[in-house]
Amino acid sequence: MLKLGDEEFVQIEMRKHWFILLAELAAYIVLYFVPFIIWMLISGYEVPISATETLNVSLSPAYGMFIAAAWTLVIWMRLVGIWTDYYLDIWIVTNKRIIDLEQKGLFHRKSSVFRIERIQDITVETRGIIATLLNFGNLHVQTAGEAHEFSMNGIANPRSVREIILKQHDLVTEAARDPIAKRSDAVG
Amino acid sequence: MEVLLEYLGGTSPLNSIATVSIATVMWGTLYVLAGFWAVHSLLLLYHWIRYGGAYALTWIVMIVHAAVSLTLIGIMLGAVLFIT
Repeated sequence: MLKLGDEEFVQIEMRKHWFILLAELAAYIVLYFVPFIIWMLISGYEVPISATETLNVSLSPAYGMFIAAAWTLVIWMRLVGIWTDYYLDIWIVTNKRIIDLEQKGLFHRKSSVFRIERIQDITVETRGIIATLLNFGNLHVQTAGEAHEFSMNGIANPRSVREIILKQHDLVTEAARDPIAKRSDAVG
Repeated sequence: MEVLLEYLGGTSPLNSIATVSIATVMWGTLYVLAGFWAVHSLLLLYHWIRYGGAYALTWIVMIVHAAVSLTLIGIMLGAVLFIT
């Protein structure tokens, strides 16, 4: 799992806001009901297949249960996959680093680490009525490293997260500026 | 469905398709879905155990997933057995 360094402590762990997950799940939940609605509309309808013959659109309960269970299983597997992808995406802010763990798919995981002292600028973006009401948004962090900017998209309470990161940044830069005091503290 | 398949039968090439029973199609569908589910679940379990962190939550999620999925597979199996 995550290996922390000496004197490194986790300040906050974050995932995307629950509304982000809900929005993705909702699309598949709506899709799940579409075949049932279509079936309700066409069930019992007599389809003319020739001048004298018609085909009654109907299904015995056993066939219906089989098809419904199969469709439900397919959608359920997709929902669990979405939940897994959501849950395994995580941002961790420690007193020394920001760690971005992103599950991009099966057997595809990206992890990025940004040192707190390299942070130069943090921008909070909250866009839209739902994001404003539910207090979630994007955090854009400018760093001095190779990856000049990284983003935390859809996190809850982005302003307080920014404050936490800035506070850790201040502590790290103060400790770096005043190593004598730091050594005295360590000895004393 | 058998009526529709008979209608499509006669001397056309669709005769061979028309002779495949619905039960065979349902068994095939069941095997394919169950196999895919098993592989998919094993992959999810691997990812949850390796990256999930909170092990209690990992097992709770997998138990719920298994319970729902196996219930659905059981319903499918019951329907197929009833028909055959």
